[in-house]
Amino acid sequence: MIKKNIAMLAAETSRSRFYLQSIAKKGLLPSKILILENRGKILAGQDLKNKTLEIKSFYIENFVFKPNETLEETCKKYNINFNFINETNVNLDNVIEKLKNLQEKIIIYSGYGGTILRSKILNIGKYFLHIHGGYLPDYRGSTTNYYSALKEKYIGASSIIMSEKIDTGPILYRKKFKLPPDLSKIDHIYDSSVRSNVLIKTLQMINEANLLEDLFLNQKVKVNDMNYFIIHPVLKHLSILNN
Amino acid sequence: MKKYIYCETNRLIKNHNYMYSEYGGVKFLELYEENRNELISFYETQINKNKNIISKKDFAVLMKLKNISEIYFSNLKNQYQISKLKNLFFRCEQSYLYEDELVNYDKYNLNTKEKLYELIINFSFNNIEKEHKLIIYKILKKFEISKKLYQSYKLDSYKPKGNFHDLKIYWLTSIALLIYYMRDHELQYLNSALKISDTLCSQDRKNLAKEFRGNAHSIPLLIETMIIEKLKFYR
Repeated sequence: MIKKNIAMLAAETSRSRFYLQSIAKKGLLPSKILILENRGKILAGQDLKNKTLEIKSFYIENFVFKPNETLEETCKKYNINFNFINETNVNLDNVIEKLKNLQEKIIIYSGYGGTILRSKILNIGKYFLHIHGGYLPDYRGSTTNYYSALKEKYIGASSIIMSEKIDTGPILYRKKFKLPPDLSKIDHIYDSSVRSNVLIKTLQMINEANLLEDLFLNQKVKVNDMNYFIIHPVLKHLSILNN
Repeated sequence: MKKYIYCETNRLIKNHNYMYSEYGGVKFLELYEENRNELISFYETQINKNKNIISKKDFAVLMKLKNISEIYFSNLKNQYQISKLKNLFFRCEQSYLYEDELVNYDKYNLNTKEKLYELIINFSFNNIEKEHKLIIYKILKKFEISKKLYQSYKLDSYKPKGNFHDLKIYWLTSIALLIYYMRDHELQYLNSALKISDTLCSQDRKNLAKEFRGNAHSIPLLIETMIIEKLKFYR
């Protein structure tokens, strides 16, 4: 089933591939995909070294992830309308213009790692649906699943509508997951896998809701709480080895 | 992975963003420890060359670190590390002390170094000052974004001013973050402390020896590795 009110803005990363393949498998296809094309050096989130053909997902039932299947290939396989944008920076005016022209009201966002969406893109009258790798509002910021694994022995994901302050937009759905068998594969496999699980559930909820706003969870964000920043390799190793 | 790459080049010139860092297993943690221990050993060789003299404010900072680490490591079983740390503090207490220069304050800008001295020296294990935590977090955040710490920041916007080459500011920030971590157990402090420590350890040895006399830098380095040791549950 193609979802007419939902588009996707995706970079060619392992996470975007995971998202698209898993939602396609569950019949939750977006009506349009804009692919941020990268013709330069490898960017954050791209895992071109992975030669594994198929990976059985630990967190999504009956789903096998194909790391080497490109977004274009998946789009063609499921007959999804797609276009390339020859840019990697989503904040550029020509990218914003393309997004403005989309008919879809909700855009699943899955850009290159480390990019922050500026106000000029967030204020174009669309909802940017982002799946955060971590349980919000407890774990705001970057690489938070390593921190939650180290502190509380779980990983998580949360779907939010993006706002100008990082990871503070309205939460639609969030879930805690038990730790995977091998945390060293979290960056390109398990983090994407739990996010995809939450994305699937969120799209199903959007299907059933009258208004997107009906899904916003009541949450209390403590303004003074500290964000998590990219985990230092020493803590990352402790998180992996301790579990 | 054959060496600890995060200090292999001057991180104030070429910073590291730490994104998607490579997993190297237990060997990686050994390389990290070697990196820190190698610098501690280097400082040992310098002690006989330089007189062990430090400023009164630096001494007060190190004594605060002593006070907090004694509480934090009170249950530590590794007596070798404890005695090594005690020995470093003992030698520090034998240092010659000199008066710090007078500082001119500016009401529109935060003097990073002086604010850090103030926050560390007035730090209490039992009394959590929200305002102080907020300042520490703002400094932490500034470092995480730019991987640099500036001489001063505008008080209204926290825009940086001056240069970012004062190694003492990095030293003070890493100590501040270590004592906040030892009290509050919030990993964000330890995370940034490790990155700032990488920045310091990546500096030219001559500059480090000139800036940090005696055990001034060895002490926070040893405490950092002891904290990491305490977090190892996989053995």
